[in-house]
Amino acid sequence: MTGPGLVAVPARVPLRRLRAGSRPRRTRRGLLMDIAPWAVPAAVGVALAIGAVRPLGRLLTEAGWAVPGAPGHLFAVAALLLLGGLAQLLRSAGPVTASSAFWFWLLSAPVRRRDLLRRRYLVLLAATAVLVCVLAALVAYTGSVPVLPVVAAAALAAFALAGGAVCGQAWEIAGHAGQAVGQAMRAAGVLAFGSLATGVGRAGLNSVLHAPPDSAVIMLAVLAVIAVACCVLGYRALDQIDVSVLRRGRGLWTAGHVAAASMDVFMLTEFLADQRARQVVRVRPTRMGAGFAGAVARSEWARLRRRPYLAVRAAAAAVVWWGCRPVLHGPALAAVAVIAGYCLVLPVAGTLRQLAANPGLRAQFAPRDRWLSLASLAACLLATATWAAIVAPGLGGGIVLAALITAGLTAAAYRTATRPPLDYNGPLVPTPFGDYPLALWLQVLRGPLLLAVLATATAAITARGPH
Amino acid sequence: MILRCGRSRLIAVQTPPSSERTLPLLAVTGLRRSFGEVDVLCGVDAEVGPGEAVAVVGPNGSGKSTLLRCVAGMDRPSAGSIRLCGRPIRERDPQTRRSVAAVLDDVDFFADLAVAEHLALLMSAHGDAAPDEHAASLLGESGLAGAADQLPAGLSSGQRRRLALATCFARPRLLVLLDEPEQRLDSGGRRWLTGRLLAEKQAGHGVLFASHDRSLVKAVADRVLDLGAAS
Repeated sequence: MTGPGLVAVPARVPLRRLRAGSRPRRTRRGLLMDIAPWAVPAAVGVALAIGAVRPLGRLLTEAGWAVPGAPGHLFAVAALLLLGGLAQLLRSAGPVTASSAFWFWLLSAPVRRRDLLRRRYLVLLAATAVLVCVLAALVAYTGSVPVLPVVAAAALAAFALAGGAVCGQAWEIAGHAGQAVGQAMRAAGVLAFGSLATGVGRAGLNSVLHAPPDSAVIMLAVLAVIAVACCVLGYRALDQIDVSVLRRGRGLWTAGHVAAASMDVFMLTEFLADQRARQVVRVRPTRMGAGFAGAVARSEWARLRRRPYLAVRAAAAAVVWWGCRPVLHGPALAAVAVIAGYCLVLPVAGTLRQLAANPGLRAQFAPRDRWLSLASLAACLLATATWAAIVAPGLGGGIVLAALITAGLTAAAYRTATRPPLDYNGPLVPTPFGDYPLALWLQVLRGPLLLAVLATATAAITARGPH
Repeated sequence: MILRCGRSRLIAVQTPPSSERTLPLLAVTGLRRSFGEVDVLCGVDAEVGPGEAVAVVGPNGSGKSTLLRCVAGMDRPSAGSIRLCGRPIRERDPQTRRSVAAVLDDVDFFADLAVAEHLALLMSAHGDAAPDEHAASLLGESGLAGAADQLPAGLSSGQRRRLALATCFARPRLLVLLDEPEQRLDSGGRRWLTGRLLAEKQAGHGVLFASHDRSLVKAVADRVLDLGAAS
């Protein structure tokens, strides 16, 4: 225990025991489920790397679904990424969810649960299908692929995915299985791009053949059977869903809704950071020591160290960006680099955002709260400089381009994170979605406007410069 | 007077000039706050002197939290004046923020910093020469020693409340503002809070707090401002 004057810093080994003690005991099945997310992408990645996916690429190209002129397995990777991301989203969001009012007033009644949840289930199926179809149509259109079979296949896959996710939710296995599928898909996509970037297995997948119609019809028929089965099973599983499972995704829905309504992505990222912190629970506290400058630096470093996924995400983005080089050209590549950098740097500016948005927190540290903001800004600067150092050589730009990207991205992140509180007394702007305060638009556009200017400038420099 | 010696002039809380010593620490005069056509506060007067505790009581919706938010500078009154040591209170003014320690709504925490790190960083910001040791001491006193290495998201609501209150006592202050500080605290926590507020008075700090807990009000408050009676 800690007494006055003693420092409450547990050693590593007791801390590890504490953490282990607070985790639930793993069953053999759970262990397998935990291993699966890493085993599956590793296998897929190795297969991709040695070019063993040629039959898959050939199948896709034979079906007429491969992108002409682009590496054939990009299409497969895009589909994998899409399904993986969607599976992860569905798992995190419920997928069938209920607000507090809904479960308090309706679900507590002795009524057959399937009847109450039917409408939500149908909305889920429709929303998933629409989202996937739009994305699939975009992919198909940009790749000059026949749109209709692609959209049909995507819709069927979406139905299967949504129905399967509800089954998982009802059977209480979504925690392991859904996560496994999502992580496997994402990791497979990253590894595929990695193999593309390194040039391994690129040959042989570029050949484009015309589709024999029979194979496409067979694939669609198989997908349709799977989709119907999943939808029926999902509908039957609605009766088995209990309130604890239904409420699981409510926080994400609420955070997403609030973030969308106030057009503030930090509302969502803060919620996700909070969820991650709940899983970690205990950490090894860093000694702050005397001297505020040092304490601020140490605290900022501790915060970054505890979010290793930021580095993983940045590494994956770098691999993907370099993987896009054979497909995208100068200005487009520059714009993608700038926008990806912005998305990567924003979470680093979390401290800045918290201090800007919360006068109570600011007041706690007053009058030295600006030091914390400066430390967060310095972390942003470091992150943007690293990103610029990664992408500038690929854009054929020198130190000037790197400096421009660094300064511009830092400024854009700063302006996004430090948007002032909303003034509701200002003028309103009529939109198709209702009247919005002018101040809200000015708030929302603070960072993205600067980002657009930066992307344009970078693209212009890249277009003029040597390749 | 410097309430807590620090390494920097910035963190020192200065005694008001001799001409202002006769003034109360906090003076609220004719305070009015309206939301649309609804007057939540209508002509409220209040004073808090050094070493004095004033409890704000009243039914729900009587404007207790609004009053405290206005005093903390987090809300702007529609009319009236709020003066701290004779100067108008402004949230933007570093002197105001330096002098007022407030726990009003749920305090926001950094998701990735442990409980001990929060307090140590806060003490460091206010020039404490040994922030880690003092943070550990304060955590022990507030019953959070076992949670020193936890992230705030893993704390219970009562523990979060204790941490929020501890941040108030971890920094230099002239005036302490608390909005229903007893909420979510267990009986041990309420005893700790009572003792701590009495200590604040003895140290010469002013305390303005809203509460529904009669025993806390009785034990700590020198005067009671009943907003329910006014409405």
